[in-house]
Amino acid sequence: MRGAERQHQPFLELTNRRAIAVSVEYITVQWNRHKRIYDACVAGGIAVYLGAFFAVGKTLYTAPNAISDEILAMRALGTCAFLLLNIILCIGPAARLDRRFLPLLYNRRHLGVATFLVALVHAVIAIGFYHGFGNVNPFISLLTSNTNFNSLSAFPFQILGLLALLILFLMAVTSHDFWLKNLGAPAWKRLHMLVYVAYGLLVMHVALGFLQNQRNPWLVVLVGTGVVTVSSLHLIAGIRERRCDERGKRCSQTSGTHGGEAWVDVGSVDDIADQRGSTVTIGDGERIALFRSNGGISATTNDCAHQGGPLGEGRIIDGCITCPWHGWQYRPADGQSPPPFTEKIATYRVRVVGRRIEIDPSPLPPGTAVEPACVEENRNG
Amino acid sequence: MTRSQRRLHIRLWSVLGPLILLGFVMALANRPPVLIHTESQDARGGAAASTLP
Repeated sequence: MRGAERQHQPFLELTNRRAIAVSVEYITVQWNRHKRIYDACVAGGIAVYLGAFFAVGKTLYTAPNAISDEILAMRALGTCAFLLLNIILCIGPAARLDRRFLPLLYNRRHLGVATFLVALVHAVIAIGFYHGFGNVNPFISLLTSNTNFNSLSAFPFQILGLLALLILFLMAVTSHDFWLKNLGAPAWKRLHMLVYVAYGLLVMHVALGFLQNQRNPWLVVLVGTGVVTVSSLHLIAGIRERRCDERGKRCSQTSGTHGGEAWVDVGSVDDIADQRGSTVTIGDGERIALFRSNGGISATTNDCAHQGGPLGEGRIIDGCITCPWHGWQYRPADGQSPPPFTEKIATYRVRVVGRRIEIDPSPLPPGTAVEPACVEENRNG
Repeated sequence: MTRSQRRLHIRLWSVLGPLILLGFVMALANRPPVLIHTESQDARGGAAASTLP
């Protein structure tokens, strides 16, 4: 759960302005209206899915082919968790490709925790139903009853599901800014990339388990479509990001220097709307966020100190740069979060020549004050 | 995302995506033949019972 979505989120209303973030002191979860709506939608969606699955299952599987409530529950929960994981994995690249998906990204961690809980109930019912009626401990039975690791058709697929569940558990317990703060954003991000491994394990869990005895082609098509969609979206978003990096690299190489200093031309002031940001890529793929506010141009790193969100795609709210992912804020003039928060990001020296913006590509230490380049003076001059 | 994360991400999915798809296809290709149950335990039990003296 969350601890520090704080400050001023662009698409939500912060209900507790006195809330204190993890950077100051530890608070379990700070609720706001947007989070409540998001979580209500998630809980409602899961309830509707499970109810519909049960109703359709009971209608389709009548005597003599009726299946027990336990198996129906197992299938409903299993498919629900798998569907949720597919959705979660699509949100990230979809938001990079189209800003309209950004609101889904905001509370994605809650969706992840919900997925783990649904998967956990699925596992508890499955282990209890298939391994809970003997003399052997259910977990020992699960791990030892099938050792056909050399056979694809008889592979112990349950172990794959258990491994994926362990990874999801790790994700769920560290889905809090307390851990993000203590592990550091890069380590936390790498840790949470394990969810991709969990996804691979779950696809094989489904393919080697449920789909082995099901001959309905639509089930194969559905799972296959999910895999292709998730993989394609990540690759398309990745390729687009790489092209953007390469374009910036070429651009900065042709910019040259001015007056012996390594100033890089990064575009026109007219390309940035007032109170808005823009992203430029320079050098070896380094991204810099430019902001236009109150007649001045400021430059900071594009990576938010929280989770590396693209600051240049954010905007100025209450005089602060606001990350589009989770609403973390920084002052444009010095890259520091407004009090009581203590996060800092790197800033860059910037100047305006005519109507062109030029920046010194060497980042300054996080929190360094830089006078914004004045746009209006140059226009008049 | 930082530069290194972007690079790691695209490398990861270049490998992981095809790998998951390959595993999925292989798992489906090795499915056992469909078992058609023509006789239930009840039916067999009933038949056996009918032969009892």
